[in-house]
Amino acid sequence: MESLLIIYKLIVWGYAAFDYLSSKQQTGAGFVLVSLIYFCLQLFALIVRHKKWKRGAAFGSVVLLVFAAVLVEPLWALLLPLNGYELTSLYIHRVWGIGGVLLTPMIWLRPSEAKLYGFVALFSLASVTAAKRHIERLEQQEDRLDQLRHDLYRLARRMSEYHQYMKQSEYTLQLEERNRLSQRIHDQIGHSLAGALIQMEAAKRLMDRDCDKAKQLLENAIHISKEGMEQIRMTLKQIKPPLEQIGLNRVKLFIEEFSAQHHLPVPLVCKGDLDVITPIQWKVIYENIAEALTNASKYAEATAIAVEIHVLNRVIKVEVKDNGKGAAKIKKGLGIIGMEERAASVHGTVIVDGTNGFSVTTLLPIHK
Amino acid sequence: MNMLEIKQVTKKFGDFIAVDHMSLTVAEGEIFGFLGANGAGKSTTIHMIAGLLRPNAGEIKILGKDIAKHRQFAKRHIGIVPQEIAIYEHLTAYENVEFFAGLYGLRGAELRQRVEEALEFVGLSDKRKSYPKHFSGGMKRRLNIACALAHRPKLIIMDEPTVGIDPQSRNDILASVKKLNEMGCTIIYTSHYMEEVEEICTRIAIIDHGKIIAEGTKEQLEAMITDTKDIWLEIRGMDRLNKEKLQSIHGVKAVQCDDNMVKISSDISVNNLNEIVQCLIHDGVEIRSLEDKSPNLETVFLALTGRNLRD
Amino acid sequence: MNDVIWLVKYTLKRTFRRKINFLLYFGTPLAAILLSLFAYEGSPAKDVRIGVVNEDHGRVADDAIRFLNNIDHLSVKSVKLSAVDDQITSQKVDGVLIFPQGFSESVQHGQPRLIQLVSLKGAEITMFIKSYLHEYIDHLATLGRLANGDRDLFWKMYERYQQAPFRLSVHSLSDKAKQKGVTYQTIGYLVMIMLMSAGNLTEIIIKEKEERTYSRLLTTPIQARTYVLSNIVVNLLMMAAQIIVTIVAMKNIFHIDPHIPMWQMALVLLLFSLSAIGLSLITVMFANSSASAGALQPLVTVPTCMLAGCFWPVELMPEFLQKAAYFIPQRWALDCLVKLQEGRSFGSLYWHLLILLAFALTFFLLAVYKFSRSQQSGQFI
Repeated sequence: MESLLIIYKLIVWGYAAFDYLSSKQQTGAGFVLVSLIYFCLQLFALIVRHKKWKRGAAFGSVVLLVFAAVLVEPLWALLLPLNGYELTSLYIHRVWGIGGVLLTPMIWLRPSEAKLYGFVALFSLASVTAAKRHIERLEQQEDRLDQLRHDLYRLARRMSEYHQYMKQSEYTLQLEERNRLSQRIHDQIGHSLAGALIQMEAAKRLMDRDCDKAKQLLENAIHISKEGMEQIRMTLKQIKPPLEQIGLNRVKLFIEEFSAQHHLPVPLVCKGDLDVITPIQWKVIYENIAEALTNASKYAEATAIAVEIHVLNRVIKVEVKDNGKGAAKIKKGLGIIGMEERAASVHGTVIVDGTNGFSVTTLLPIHK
Repeated sequence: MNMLEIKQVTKKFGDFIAVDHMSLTVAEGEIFGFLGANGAGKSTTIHMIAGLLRPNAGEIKILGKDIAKHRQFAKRHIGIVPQEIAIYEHLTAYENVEFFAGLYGLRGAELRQRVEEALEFVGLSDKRKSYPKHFSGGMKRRLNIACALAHRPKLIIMDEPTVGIDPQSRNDILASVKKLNEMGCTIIYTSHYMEEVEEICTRIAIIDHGKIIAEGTKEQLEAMITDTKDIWLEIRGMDRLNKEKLQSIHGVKAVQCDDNMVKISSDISVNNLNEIVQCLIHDGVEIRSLEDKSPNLETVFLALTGRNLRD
Repeated sequence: MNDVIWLVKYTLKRTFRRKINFLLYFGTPLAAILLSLFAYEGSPAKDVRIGVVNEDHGRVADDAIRFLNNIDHLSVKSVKLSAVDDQITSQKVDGVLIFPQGFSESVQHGQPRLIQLVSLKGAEITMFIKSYLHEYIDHLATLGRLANGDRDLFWKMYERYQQAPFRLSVHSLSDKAKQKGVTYQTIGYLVMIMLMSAGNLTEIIIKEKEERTYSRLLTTPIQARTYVLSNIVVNLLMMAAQIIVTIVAMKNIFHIDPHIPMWQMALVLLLFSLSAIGLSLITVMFANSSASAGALQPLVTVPTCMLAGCFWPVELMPEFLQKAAYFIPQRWALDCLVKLQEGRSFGSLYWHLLILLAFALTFFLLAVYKFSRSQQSGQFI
């Protein structure tokens, strides 16, 4: 907006100056002095920050132009619409009102001059208004963008809250599960064992008197114990989670699927003692690897992606590195911000490097 | 009180994020090292501390005062040794120091004394009348340092002060950094030479892509990646080697022998090299060579980022 | 303020450590005086050659030719009418005057017949001859009108007119004109030198930025504007010194009388120096390296100086350009000095001084505008 107005003013001034140069008039001083004072006022208005001074400069410009148009050179009136616009728009907000004010000087002008003046005034009015609208819309959009960004952050935060909630419910579920287990052990295995125990107790007593009966009781006890064993096995089988659902295997599974899907070799290397990685850390690792791999498949144009999980003494390093085109300047997208936030939730950081291929390194501290 | 506090400071150049939510604290009396590859954001951070750049977000405090509000206060207490040599070719060594010191309001006898002190400190007293264009790279570097000292700052920030100079000058500069620290100055030292940082810094931050990825003493940083150090010995008289006795030394975890090489793995936090050597000598084992394969900052950086410091 | 003085002191120290800068800043104005002296010594040596075709052979025409012959720096030779074109195109003469038949007769009647002037050279030559001849013939024609056809009376008056001692003043007049000319030329060159010097001195800002001492300065308690202010002060001091050196040398070494009081000349030039500094600040604020600033400075300086008439009288240029020149501060400084030479009082030239001030103000505001914009966007100048 600012530069646009400067250019408009320069064009109109240039027209006036050219006209003056090609005219036969000899009085140069007036025109030059008015030009210089006019420039000074415009620059002053641009430099000062205070509204009061800006208004003063706008007012001064209009007064100067009126005087110049009357005393020095009528062409100065041509700049009146632009500066008049600046001044009147401070007080009048309706376009028609501003237009009316801007066109009033036509009354005092000669017809030929009035024609030119009217043309310039309308043109200035239209173009400046259009530019202003445009900028307003731009600002609105920027505001909305800010709003959206704000929403995004809020949602991300809420997500992490849900995450907490999920962890909480996970824990509750665990408790419930334990409860169920103890109940079951108590109900079934306890009963079987108690049954077998009674039978064996009875067999022991009968052993001397009635050997056959005792044998039968023992047979019973063995049967019950066998059943109990089976039940334990069954219960254990039921509570043990399937192998593919935990830690490394989950990561492996994802990488295999990814590799097959994109026809890319994705070697996975693990170093160090993976047992120290907690389930929450595994979750972050899994999600960051998934995110990094998805990004790589989208942008990198890579022919291979290497994944490394390295457990060092006090840190876990997870690196996803491709051999693609990389990026000299890294723009942080939502993906990277998401990874950073996940890592930050367990006090870790993410390094993104694009100098040699593209690599995303997640560093998570180990708390011993 | 903390000499310097940086909280969540971010600096963007267009889309490029040079410093990314950096937070760190430097206590009084530390020699704090910024270690990172070129373009990691070290200089940008320093420029922000020096007030040459305004951060996009975050807060920087010098001696507890926000530099955005107390710029003059901060400037008076900081001395910056810029990465590029910033001295005037057409002023003598003395005049260069005098000029910069004078900008801190020093005049007269006090000014003269401080300038002499600063020149003395960097060992350029006898060159005070010479022009820097006749100086060697190391001398220019030292003058560059002197210009930041005469106003006796509490915090001295040195941005790669040893780039492109001979080993002798480098040692001189490192020694003077230590001396300044002993005199009570807090020092922030940036470098991408890890040996220097290792040698002089009391605490180190490893910076990569505008973030601090690790921070602590040298030992803490090294402990991040491993808790054992390997000592490789080439010896004569393997038969006289007493494995059990070696293993009983405090900290030693394992001893492996192979031909005439012995690898002793030991706890990194225990300094037992003397005992090991004594034990070997006592048993009449001849040590041909000894190599301490302890992790260093270079290996830490490599392990954490997958890249070398000097790529 | 203390800081500014300190900065100024060391900037001057640094500048004059290099002895060549003495030559650059104070040798050039002296060279300018010498150059303009030569320019004005040289021009009389090359006489204007005029061919004369005398179709009339009357007494008045003969006397007129003799009159032309007596003028300094003008050589007259008679030419045949048929040879006129050849003489002119072969540049043996700069112009040819043709006295028509019956010229003497027509003068006696107070209505001189038109003298033809043929020339390939521009107004420079023709104006020179015209002005002399016009005055002369005009006088004779007046005599003719006064005599009112009375032949004897005319000749009597004519006789007396020819003997009148008015021509004695010609020499002193041309001498004064020469001194004024040298002064004008010297000031013209000085104006350009001042612009160049201002350019060099403000370029220090960019040079310091490139040599990194600038950012070091900003880490000290010095603020950017204090630094720029000190540069302006250095500029002003240097300009003032240049002006004084030039004027003193002109008066006391070369003994040129500028026909203006010294202080008035100095004041006008000092006012102009403000514009020069403003202009160079603008180039520095807009240029992003010393190389581009160095390229930009002469690109701004030389054409504007040419247009403003620093090297030759502005009257030699077309009218459009003459008017355009009024948008350049140099023009106003020179114009002001010419007006002072013409004898106008200093007080009556407030218009010129006001415009010079306005130029300086405009330039400074533009520089400040650019400066504040670059500071806002975080990239310190």
